[in-house]
Order: sequence, then structure tokens, then C-alpha cells
Amino acid sequence: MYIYNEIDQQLVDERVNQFRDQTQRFLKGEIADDEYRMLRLMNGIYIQRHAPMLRVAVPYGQMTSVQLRALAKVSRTYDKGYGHFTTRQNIQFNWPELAQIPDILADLAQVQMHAIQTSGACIRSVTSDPLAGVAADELADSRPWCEIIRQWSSLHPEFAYLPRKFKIAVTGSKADRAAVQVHDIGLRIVHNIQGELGFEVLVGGGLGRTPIIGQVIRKYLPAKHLLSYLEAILRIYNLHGRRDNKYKARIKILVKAMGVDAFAQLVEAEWQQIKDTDLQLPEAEIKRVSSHFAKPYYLSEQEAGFTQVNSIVDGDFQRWLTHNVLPHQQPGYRIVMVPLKNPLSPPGDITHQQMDGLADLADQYSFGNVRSTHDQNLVLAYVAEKDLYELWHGLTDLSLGRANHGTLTDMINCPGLDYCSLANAETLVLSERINEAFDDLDYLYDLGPIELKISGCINACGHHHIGHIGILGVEKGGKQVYQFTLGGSDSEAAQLGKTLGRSIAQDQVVATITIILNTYLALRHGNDETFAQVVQRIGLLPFKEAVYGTAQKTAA
Amino acid sequence: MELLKKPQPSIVIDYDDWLAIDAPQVEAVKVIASVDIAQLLNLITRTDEIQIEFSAFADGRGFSIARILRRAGYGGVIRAVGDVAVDRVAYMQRVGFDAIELKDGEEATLLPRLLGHVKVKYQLSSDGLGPVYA
Repeated sequence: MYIYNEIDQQLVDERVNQFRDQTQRFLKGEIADDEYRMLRLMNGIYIQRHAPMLRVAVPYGQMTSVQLRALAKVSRTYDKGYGHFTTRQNIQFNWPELAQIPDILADLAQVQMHAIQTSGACIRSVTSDPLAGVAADELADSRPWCEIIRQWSSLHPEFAYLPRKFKIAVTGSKADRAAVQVHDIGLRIVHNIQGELGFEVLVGGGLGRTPIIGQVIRKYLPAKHLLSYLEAILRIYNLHGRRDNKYKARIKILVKAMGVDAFAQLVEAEWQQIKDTDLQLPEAEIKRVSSHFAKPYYLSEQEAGFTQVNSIVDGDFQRWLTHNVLPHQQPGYRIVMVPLKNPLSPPGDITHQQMDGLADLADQYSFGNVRSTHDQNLVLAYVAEKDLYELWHGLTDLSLGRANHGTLTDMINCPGLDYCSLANAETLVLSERINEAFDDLDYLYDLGPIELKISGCINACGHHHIGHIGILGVEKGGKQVYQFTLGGSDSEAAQLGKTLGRSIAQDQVVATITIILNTYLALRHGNDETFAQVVQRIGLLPFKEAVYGTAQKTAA
Repeated sequence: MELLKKPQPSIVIDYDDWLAIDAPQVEAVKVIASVDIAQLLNLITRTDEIQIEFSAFADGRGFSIARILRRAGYGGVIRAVGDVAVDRVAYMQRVGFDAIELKDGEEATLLPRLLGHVKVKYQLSSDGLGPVYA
């Protein structure tokens, strides 16, 4: 976990004062609305349907227990007692008063947190693999590189007024748990034939109204050149990205219009001019940042391990162990997923009591570390096997022990029309009904891994394009209806889902999901063939016929 | 304040008009954000000042243009004109602007905004400072 030095602390403190000044001037009428809008967005504040919304950065999903308690306190003191984890690993508070937000940020600065660049047309808070540093399949820890990018991009003077928002994600594993292929820039850690660490650089991915899978523009970038290469891409984008139409302003549109080769040539020419300047990362700086992510003081395998964990006679615990607990790179340890998918609250929501309780569990069982994931869950990443049963009791007491990780009800969901002023349709009513209809865990386990992703508008905050089942809410003739897509994937070979057919009425959504699932169950070759594999093998037609009847065949 | 002290040149010619007369030596040229930078770089020795127009608050192209001009060694004045706004001036200084044209009445509010700006600078830019780690 990165710990701020004096300079890092000074920056967040100064930023709080600067924002306090900007907000006070705005409230006195000294800054025009549209100007303040850009200034507040750059600091994570939207004006939502009911109140301002504050989005606090959880850089690359890493938190300490101290920080989680501070977030709990913010939700208790300034909000309604809960927070909402987003698909970019950050946390949102939906009910603060604008005049109090500077105080919230001052409180957060005391625990080394901020809201810098969590929104606005600038380089957004960097995201990563939530299992970085512990995943069994990891090539190298992505977190030092994320922190280096966080610092470089924070208050970058040249890139604060980009054509549109700009998102960077980094992964150090082959399995893509950071959705790097649908980011403006995706970075995959790779080694060259000499075994030296570098990055494969993808550019121009994104969801929204024009979903595109990112393309590789550099197969191997030596690590020391990371910042100069990012800067070259950003400079080309800042100068050439479209500014006449905000729906065509993302870098993916520029890359598509120019062609990836022409774009890569521009970047290369710019990069040649800056790669050997002070932007080159000194070995000492890489070491300094990396030292913050050293392995914790693990117990020995004999001390931490518990080979009989599978023989504890407790069915609920065993289900949790099977579904919510993942292998660890350290012998004797496991990774525990904590789904924020309580059937009674929106996906990603967590109460202040749960935050405090989880912080205590993290201190007791996971070196005080908590992580957030892009599918709106939390992770305790350093749990000794011997502690699993006790931890499970602790999580269950907090209503955080539901064993539905990776199942249909572990869905991604944007807040939709209930909160968001951009949304066209409600989404929370869907997750509520889906939870009601599919509450039998054994049925969910039989279905196997299914990623259900729901967005309330075309901006795709719910990532519906890359869900195995994607649902997009739209408004048609004053009614909220829902378009289904099947076959999307955010795995290492990401794919965009294909549209199933005409939109479905809100009260038919659960019935439609049921038909899709029954079709899958009827057509799968044995229990091991997953939903995604079946869609891949047989295509959409059998699902179309099942949902719309055979008449659809000719219509399609 | 240095930024406000540089007097406005008596004559400023628009970049396209300047090109139309084959770009003779002049006091000041004004460019818009969509200027062909490669072409401009070939002509920078022929003007003592380059004014970069910010046509809208949201348009950040001028920041990169100033950065590239300084990197190419341009030593004349780079002045921000148009929608400058006090809250952006500190960033403008960092990328290489050394003169600004503010809206009427904004001068008085500028100084506290600059003093109150974040002083930590993580990145390399045109202001002669290395990145924080260098």
C-alpha cells in the first residue's frame, strides 16, 4: 500500500484549499455556472437528480482499514449512512451538501484520500486488477505502475481540458480482471525475450454509445519509458481529438477515424522527441514506489495453512469457500471476495456499519488491506487458511457473506434513473426483481458463472456490452424498455455482445432472463459447458427463437 | 505580476493573414487552437510574440501548443487570449505562457488564486522544473 510522503500530502491539502476557495466563490456568485461546473467535475462532483454526488478516488482499488473507516464516517456525518462502489473501483456519496464537500475532502485528506480527477474531461483515476500482488496467475504487481501513473496524471497542467474523459487501466496478469481492453489506454505488463519488464499498450477501447475493443499500438514498451509514451498519446489526443461533438470526442473515435497505424505513427513521432528527457523513469523512483508494495509479513505455510478447511462440516461455509474464496500466490493463504450484492440494496452499496465492521475484519485477518473491484465488490486479499472459518462468521454477521460471487446475482448495475440525471431507465428495480426471482443458490451454482451487466442509458456505466447477458435501459414513447445483448465478455479476449432483438418491457425482464437461462440449460453439453461457451458455440438464434418465437427468424 | 506586465503589442496579425503575405518579421501573431503546429514551428523565428486564442473554457489545445513551442526553443512571448479564466492561469504558466489577457475586473482576483494554487508539481512541463522524482 502506497503511503504518502510530505510532498504527496501537501498536494492533497493544497487541493482541498483550492477547491474550498473555488466553491466559496461559486456560492457567492463570483464564478459562472459553466466554469464552476468544469472545476467541480475535475474534483469528483456531479449535480445529480436529488443532490450533488461526490465520487472519491480509491486509486487502483486499494484501501487501508483506516481509510475504509474514514469513508464510513463521511457517510455517517455528511450523507445518509451508506456509500456506493462504482465500476471504476471508486466510491460515491449521493447526498452531501455542496457547501460541506470541502470539509469532507479535508477529512479525507487526513487519511491520504482525495477526489482528484474522478470525473471531468481529464485523466481519470487509474484502475487495475483488484488481485494485484496476490493473484496466483500474476506476472508482476501492477500497483507500483498505477501509483506512478496516478502521480504523473494528478493535476497535469497540460491535460486538464481534454476533448473528453480519459481512462487508463493496468493489469499484471494474463487474465484480464481490469477490463484493459475497454479503456482509452490499456496496459498489460509483459516481459521481453531478455526477461525485462515492459508494457503492451492498447489504445482506443471503450464502451458508451460506440463500444470498441482497444487495439495494440505497441507490443513492448520498456518500463522506464512508460510516462513519456503516455504523454505522447495524451498530447496527440489533446490536439487532434474531436471537440465539436461530445459523443465523438473519445480517443476511440480518433483512432478509428485515422486508423490505428496512422495514429501510432503520430504517437511514435511525438514520443521520439520526449522519450529521453526527464520523463524517463529513474530506477531509484521505480524502486521507491515498488517498496511500498512489498509482500506483507506472511506466516509460514505451516502456521497459516489449514489443510482440513474443506472438511469443516458446515454446508453454508463450504458453499462460501467454493464460490467466494480464490487461490493465492502465497502458500497457506487465500483471497476472499466480499460481494456487495445484498438483495435488499443496489449493487455496490455498503452501509457505514458494514464498512466499519469490514475494516475491523481486515485488521484482524488481512493485514488491514481492503480492495474494490470493477464489478462492484470488495476483496480481503491476505487471509490465512486457518482464519477462514472465523472470518466467514464475521462476514456473515455483517451480511457480507453471501456465497453468490461469480453467479447471476453478482451483477453489475449502474444507479439508473433513481439517482442519475443522464439515465433513461430504472435499473435498481431490475436488480431487485432479479434477486427476488433467483434467490436459490443451488440453482445459481447449477447455472455456473454468468456475468449479468445492466446500464440505465447508452453511456454504459453498467458495462452491458461486455456482459454475458447485457441489459440496456432505453426510453421509448414514454415507457422504459430494455434491450438485451448476449455473448459479451471481459475476459482476456474481450467481446462485445450482440443484440438479441426488440426491446423488452420492464415487467417482462425477469421472464426473459428465465427463458434465456432455460434455453442455455436445455442446450448445454453437460454441466461444465458455461453459458458463455454455449452462446459462443450456437450463436444467438436459439435464444431469439425462445424469447420472441420463431416469427423472429424471418423478421431478423 | 509578471504575467500581467507584458504590454500588449501595438499590432497583432492573425496567423492566416500573416501566411497570406508570406510571413514577414512581425511583432505578434495570433493563432487559433486548430493551427498547423508543424508549419508554425518553421516560422517562429519571425515573430516576437505568439498569442494563442482560447475560444472556449473547455478547449485545452492551447496548453499543448504552448508546450510544443517552448520545447522547440521558442523564446518570445506566449500570450493566452480569449477565455483565459483565473482558475487556469497557474496551469498556463506551467506549460509555457508568460503573458495573459484577462477579462475586465479579473486582475484583482488573480493573485490570491495563483498563490493559493497547488504548489506541488508531479510532472515535467515547460516551467523548467523536473518531475518530482528527478
